[in-house]
Amino acid sequence: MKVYLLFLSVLLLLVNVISLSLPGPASKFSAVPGPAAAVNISGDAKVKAPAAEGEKDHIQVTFKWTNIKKEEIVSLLKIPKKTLNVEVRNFGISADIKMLHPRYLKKQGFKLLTGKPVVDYREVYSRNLKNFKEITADLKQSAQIKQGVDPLVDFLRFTQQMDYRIPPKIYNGRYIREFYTPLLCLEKKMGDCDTKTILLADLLGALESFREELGIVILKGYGIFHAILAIKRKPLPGTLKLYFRGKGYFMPLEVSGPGWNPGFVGRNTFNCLKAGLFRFGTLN
Amino acid sequence: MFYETPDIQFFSTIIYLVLILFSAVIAIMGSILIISFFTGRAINEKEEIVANRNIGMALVLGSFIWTIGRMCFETVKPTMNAWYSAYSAGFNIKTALKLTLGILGSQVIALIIGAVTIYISVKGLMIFTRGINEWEEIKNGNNAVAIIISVTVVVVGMFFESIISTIVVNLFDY
Repeated sequence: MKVYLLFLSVLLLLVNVISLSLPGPASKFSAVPGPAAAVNISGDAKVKAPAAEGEKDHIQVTFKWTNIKKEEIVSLLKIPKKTLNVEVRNFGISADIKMLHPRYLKKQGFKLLTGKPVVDYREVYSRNLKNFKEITADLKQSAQIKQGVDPLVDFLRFTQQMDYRIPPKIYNGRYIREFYTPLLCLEKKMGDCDTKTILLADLLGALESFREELGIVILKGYGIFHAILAIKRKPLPGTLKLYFRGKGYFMPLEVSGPGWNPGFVGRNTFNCLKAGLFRFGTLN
Repeated sequence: MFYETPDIQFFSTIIYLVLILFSAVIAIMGSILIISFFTGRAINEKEEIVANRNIGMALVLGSFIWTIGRMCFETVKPTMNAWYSAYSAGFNIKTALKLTLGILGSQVIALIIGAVTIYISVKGLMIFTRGINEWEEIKNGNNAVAIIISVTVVVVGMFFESIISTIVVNLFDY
């Protein structure tokens, strides 16, 4: 019996060693999110185009990414400086977390959840929608997405190919709970799962023709603390679907790392969803 | 792109069904081949199961089918992911060929890893139980030995399952 158990333990160890040596799916704790696929993002170096005349009130950020047809796209996005400053000022609570009044928290993009201040994703999403009209239009134009064509896959790929890095807990003297607001995420050209999730939600939500419901799924379990976006759509064969009573079917969108189409997520995320270890909140 | 045409539901359903059927066929055929390899000419597993109603032999074959089947099904989701990418990018002969080769390749990988898993678990178990001829025991109706072999194969297969999807995801150019 002992020998049998020893044999199983050795095999388990062997499998773990093999699994660790292979690149895994994206998670909050992954150093390299997503499978090793054709990723082409501009990297750590922030490429900022020189400000042209009359555009001094904008920060121009250049993104190099590949679209679904594997064509290299260069997107020049203009972030209004004033709006960005307002966004930075209006997000984050005092670093010592003593001020927990609901109105103050709401104003600063936070809310209380079981007595603890957490990011109010719905609030951050909705107040950023107006800021993204121009950015979304620029991105759509640079990706050469024709009128009437669904930009979901390309926008998803754009977000996936942004650097996956966890923002700091404290930014500009304020507690931001490792979350950059969508404009700051674009400016920094990096973000983690929830940061990129809200960025994609705002990119999609700012589309004129966009009428679908969006939600954020926060997963906690199987060693991951992760966030994904969910969009209300008819599921396709072989894709993952989430059913919420009274709301219908939602399709998950994995934004952390490249490699996943709408409706596909990594193994750990899948296990977490299957076990029901998540919270869901609508954004619009 | 992704939802531009209503054809996507139709074609995706066909591809999905073909993949599942293909996985099931590979799992059953592969398992029969593997059990024949293990038992050799001394035991006719078909006769044992059908004529002699040998539950032990059926259990072991069932565990083989389960293990290889799970591994083959693990390839379905990454393959569908690659299919949607190919479809969204514009489907042509080149991508169709690449996808077909990818499907065949991933199923073969699943079969090989499944066979290796079964081989390691059965041979490993046999090393620790020297002096006992497991297949002879199963032939003589010793169901206890069959249960131990089956459980070992299924449990070891569960450990190796996670590797398959990672390999297949990396096999396709997303």
